[in-house]
Amino acid sequence: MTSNSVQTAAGILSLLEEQDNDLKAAALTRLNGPIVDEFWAETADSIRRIEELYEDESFPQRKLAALIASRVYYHLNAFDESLQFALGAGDLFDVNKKNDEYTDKIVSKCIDTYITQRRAGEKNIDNRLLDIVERMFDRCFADGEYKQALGIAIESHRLDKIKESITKSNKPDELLEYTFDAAMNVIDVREFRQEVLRTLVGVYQQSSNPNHLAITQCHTFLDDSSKVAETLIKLLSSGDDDHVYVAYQVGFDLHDRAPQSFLTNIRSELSKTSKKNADPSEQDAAHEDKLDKLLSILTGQVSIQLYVDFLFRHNHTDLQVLKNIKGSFERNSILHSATITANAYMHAGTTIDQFLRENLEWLGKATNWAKFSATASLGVIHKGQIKESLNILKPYLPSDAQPTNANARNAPGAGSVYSEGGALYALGIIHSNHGDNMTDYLVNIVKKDSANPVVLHGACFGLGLCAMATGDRSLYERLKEILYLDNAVSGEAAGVAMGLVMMGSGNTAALEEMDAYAHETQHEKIIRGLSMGLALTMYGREEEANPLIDKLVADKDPILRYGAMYMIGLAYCGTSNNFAIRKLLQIAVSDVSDDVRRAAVINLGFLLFKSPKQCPRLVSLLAESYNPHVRYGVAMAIGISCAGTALRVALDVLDPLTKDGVDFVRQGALIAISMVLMQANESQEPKVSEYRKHYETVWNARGEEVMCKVGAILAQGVMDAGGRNVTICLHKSGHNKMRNIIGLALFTQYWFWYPYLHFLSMAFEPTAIIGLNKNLQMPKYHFTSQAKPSLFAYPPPMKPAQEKKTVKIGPAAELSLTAKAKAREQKKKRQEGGSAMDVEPSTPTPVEEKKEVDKKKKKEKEPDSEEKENPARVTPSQIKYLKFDKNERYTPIKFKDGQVELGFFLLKDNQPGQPETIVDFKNTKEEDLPEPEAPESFTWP
Amino acid sequence: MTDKDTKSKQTSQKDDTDVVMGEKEETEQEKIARQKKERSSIYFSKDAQLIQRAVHQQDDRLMNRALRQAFAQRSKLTKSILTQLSDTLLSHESHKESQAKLKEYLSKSASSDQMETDSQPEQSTPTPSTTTPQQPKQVLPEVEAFLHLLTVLFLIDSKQYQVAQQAANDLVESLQSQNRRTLNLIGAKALFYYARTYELLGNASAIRSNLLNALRTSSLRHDHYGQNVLVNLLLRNYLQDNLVDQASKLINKTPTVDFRSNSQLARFYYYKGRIKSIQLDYSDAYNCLMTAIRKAPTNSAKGFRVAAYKLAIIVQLLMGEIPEHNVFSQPQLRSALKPYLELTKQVRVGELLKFKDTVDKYADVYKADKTFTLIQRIRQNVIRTGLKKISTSYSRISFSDISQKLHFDNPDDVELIVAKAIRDGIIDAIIDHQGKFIQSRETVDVYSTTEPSDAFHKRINLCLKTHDEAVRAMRFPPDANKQKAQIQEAEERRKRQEELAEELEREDDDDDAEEEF
Repeated sequence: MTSNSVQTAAGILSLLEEQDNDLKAAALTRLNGPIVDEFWAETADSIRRIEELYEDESFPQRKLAALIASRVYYHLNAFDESLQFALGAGDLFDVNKKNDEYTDKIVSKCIDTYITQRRAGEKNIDNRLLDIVERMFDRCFADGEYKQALGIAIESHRLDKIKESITKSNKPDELLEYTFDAAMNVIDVREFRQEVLRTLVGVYQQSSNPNHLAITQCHTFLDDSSKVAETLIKLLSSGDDDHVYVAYQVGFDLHDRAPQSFLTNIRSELSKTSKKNADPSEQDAAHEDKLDKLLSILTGQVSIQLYVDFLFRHNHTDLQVLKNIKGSFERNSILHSATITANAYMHAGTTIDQFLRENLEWLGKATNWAKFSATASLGVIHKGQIKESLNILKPYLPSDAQPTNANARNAPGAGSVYSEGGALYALGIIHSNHGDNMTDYLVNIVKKDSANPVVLHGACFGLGLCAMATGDRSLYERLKEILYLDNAVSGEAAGVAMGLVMMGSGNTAALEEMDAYAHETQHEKIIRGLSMGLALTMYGREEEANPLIDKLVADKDPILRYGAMYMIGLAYCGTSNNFAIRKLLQIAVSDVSDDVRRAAVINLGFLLFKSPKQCPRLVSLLAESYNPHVRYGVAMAIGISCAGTALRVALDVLDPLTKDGVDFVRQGALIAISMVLMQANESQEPKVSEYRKHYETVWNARGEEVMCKVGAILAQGVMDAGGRNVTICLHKSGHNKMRNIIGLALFTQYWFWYPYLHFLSMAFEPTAIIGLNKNLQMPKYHFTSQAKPSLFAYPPPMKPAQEKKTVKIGPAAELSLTAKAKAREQKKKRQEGGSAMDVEPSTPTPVEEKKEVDKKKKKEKEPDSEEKENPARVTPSQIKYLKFDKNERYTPIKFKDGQVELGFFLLKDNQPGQPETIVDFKNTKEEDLPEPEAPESFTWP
Repeated sequence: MTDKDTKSKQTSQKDDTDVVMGEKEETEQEKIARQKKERSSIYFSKDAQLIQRAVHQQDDRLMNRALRQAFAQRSKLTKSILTQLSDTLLSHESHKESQAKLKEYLSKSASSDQMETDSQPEQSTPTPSTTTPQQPKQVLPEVEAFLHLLTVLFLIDSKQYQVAQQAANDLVESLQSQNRRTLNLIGAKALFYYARTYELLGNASAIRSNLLNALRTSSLRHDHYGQNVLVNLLLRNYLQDNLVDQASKLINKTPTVDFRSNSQLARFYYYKGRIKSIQLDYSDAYNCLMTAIRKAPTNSAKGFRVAAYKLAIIVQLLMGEIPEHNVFSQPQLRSALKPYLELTKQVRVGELLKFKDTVDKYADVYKADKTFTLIQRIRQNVIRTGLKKISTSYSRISFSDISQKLHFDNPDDVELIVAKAIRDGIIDAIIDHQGKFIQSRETVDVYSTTEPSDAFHKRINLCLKTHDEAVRAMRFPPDANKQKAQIQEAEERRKRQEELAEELEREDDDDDAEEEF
């Protein structure tokens, strides 16, 4: 070891001061190697001299000087300088040296610098830097580290290298998927993302067995409907059954993700092809049939029908809860309205309006806007009943015979404007996102000059929901006319509806008009509606929204700044974009308006919903803010970002907020907790029952503030939403779900206007896994969930009222069975083969039997897995336990590598020709039940 | 540090002799000894558990506590305890290699441990603590390293330096191959003992480049603990070979290290003080040494404080100040500082002859303390003090008288020395070259000058600085109240899960039994 002989490098360093080049070179050569590493502190004193040598063009060993300078700077922790000199050292700096800290550090520094320069869009990047990066790429390729190369390529925005690393690798499929995933979730520049997707499509199409699912996904993001249609037609006409399956699956995915305008385009492209073949040969007929099926998928008929069936079939609403709530207050219109809304949540999409039927008289207490809201809640309950919608709502809808003018309204027996408006709103909810035929109906109503603002309010909401994201220009003009009436009530709804129609389009003309009118009008309500409309229009546009955001953030009107917050949240939703987060955080602590600050914090939730664990950490400090509006925002942000996750970190932040001193903060916390704990049961998160009890005490307590009671009642509704079969789901494996996000964003507007509460139903997503055969029917099929049934079971129903709180004894009174017994019974029923799952909580069971069951239960060990019958309820956290048997008659086509998603999947029939057993639709219209008494018996003063 | 080591060595020897006696006498005693051993073995395995917890919670403080507790008990370490620990903790297959290694070291250290004879058979009969038949569990690398470190400690304490060095080499090597944040603390300790073994064997300079490399690695990994220890080890290493220049360059060039532990910080200041004192930068050196003394623990680490005080006293003398008397009267340090007290006395009096005598008398002590060269510089100060005294007592005195009083060999030098003293402001006088005498000026009232306020200023500054440092050193965890609740909850959940797992197991067993039936 040199260190034993040499105690100092002073001698060598003094040689550097010599005149003779040879001496200096000799000194450098001696320094290089272990000496410089050991005596770097000494050498650092002569660093100037070494730098001079490097800069001296005539000095032959300047590269060596650079290398030594680089090493010294490296020891001094000055990595930027070190990198510069390493670059100067040229080929003396050996990139391929392995297990050397210096090389590793400099190379990583090099790549970092390269990435930041590329991202900053710098044109003239140092060639030497580029050279090292290229060498690194080559090294990665040589070592077979394609994923690493791909990562660097994506980070540094190098399309050519992305392509190269995918094509060169031995597992291109895996890398393609990885890139696609990265493109959707990691790349934060929209433009570059689209370029990557375009490249990916190119690569996909080159492969022998192209992944059509992925290709169409790429096209969807590139907003290229004709390409998608082309692919679909190709798949359908290929004659291969497998391809037809894929086409159907693509159809389902498209319907799930793409905006309405995109779907309409595809549909029109597809139907064009069908008309070409006027001559109906047999083959064509088969083709037509497939095309029809695909079209029906794209219109959403199939999925909506199946979802309605699923929700009805599996409904597990606990009516006892509602009864208890109802009995907890006497005369309080706010709580009354909240209860009706909670009922709507609980039965969202199930078509079960039993509670309303049983309490018609009580329901009739709703007046004015409460009536509007109550009527609209019917829409939530019957969401998806596209065919029956007009029938269901007929009693409330404005009839053509009776023009809705002031005189007629006063006539006895006629509908009030409030129920009429509510019904139109309900119509919108039922047809949300699928409003083809309903738009005309609504437009007709809007056309009537004499229409009441309240009716117009409902109609605008209805129109907005039906024509969501269609970008329909004429409809937009119609809504604008209503806006220009400058009526506060109708104007607000019109503003929002304009945004809904233009959602995600970033349409400049529309944005300008809305912005201009927002500055013109005097009505705060209209400004608020428009500012939300602006935010909706900019949905998902990312950087494109920046100029407008900057403009609105600087506006002196707090309502417009409020809209700007939502614009940030929605334009960047799910991206966790740092710029957006910083902006929101800054405003959350600096704006003068409470509303703006609250909105800023709430929108953090929208930015971070893809990484739910981060949000609680980010906002936990704000949760201790002195400003209650900020604290409320924190609750909502966590509710949004962690919805349905049952995350412990989220609850830890929310828990202290439920004991907050300010009533509306408690309200927010209660609602947020219910959002987080959706579908969670006690074995997943032991605190669930605690919170359920807490809700009960809040709404029961006499001294409690009304605000908190409202929160508790709504929270109860959210917790058990959709018959305990839905969750709030804002993205599906990384793909944003526009409808759900918008629904949640509008829901948070309930702060100003209770009817917005119903928008939450947009965000509900049935947690179903439904398998379909090639005829789009549900065959009998089952798969296993390799987890204990109790882990994902329904929470136990509430015990009937304690003490005097007893309300009417309804059929739900027999709910005293223990959860286990109930679960067992259900299982028994299932095993018996009957798909008949009772809608009513259960049939009365003799006490002895119950005891026996209990006794048995104690001995019996819980099985480690359970069989799931098609259509199955599978909660998001359960997905990872699912297993699909290969020996079954059917093979699911989508989940090749165990990647399962909620929703629909197609089953390939392994024994075609054999008769299939099809699961019947549960009839949602129960014939045996008496036809509902006409709800005209609404009594209003 | 050295004191501490020797002290613990003594105690460990005492322990051993105790046990030997017990062996001779009767089985009762033996039993007590065994129980004692079991207790300490449990103690160490508890530390291992604490380390596991620290890793799971990523809490440096817990890790620190575990190490502190274990080190406080190091005197209780015996070979059999270590064997037992490695048997229980490293029984999983993945640890076979390291377990074998540990055993190898222990077997090499043969004869020294008297316990050995009776401990071997004991291993065969299971001791109560190991009776519970447990599935061998895989333990964290931290625990593995911890055991390894304990072994090194034990080997050092039992003076098996060669084996200890080998063990330390292996330990450091294995630690550097792993990049785990949670290993940092153990790694830092390991490095310390690694350097210590080399030092004890007298070949410290051999590992200098290794240490430099390790410093680089730890700074790349942002391992603050490692950086702290390594900087100190390097300084110590340089100073041992009198490479003061290298050491000072290292201090100047190392990127500022964020010190995590007070003891490392104290060491760092001590070394810095030493370097500065040699480089004639006395006031900086004095500040550094005072900080070092302040940062050092007040009750333990006597050796460190003595060394620091010795140097501080010399530096203070070199600055022309006289240390306060209470420095020497600290009960723990009195005897150790006696030669320095003598020295100070002479400097204070300004008697050059007596000063010389004292230096000669204690020369060996000073040389051992490595303060001898510095002390030789003090001579100048003694002369100056003498001059000062003379100038206050005499308003006018001739050079020859001065020469006589201060016992100068050459009276011609006096004029030059006096001139220098006047220029430095030591004495306030005028030289009369013709008359060959000096004339003192009227002494001014010190209280009319700015000196008192300067002195106050200095003291206040010190107080403020100390206060600032104290405030900065206080650390409040971000939300201590919440964390407590969370930890509690986590604990509960853990317990619940354990219960559940147990229940499941029992159920499984039942089922199996039923099936068999």
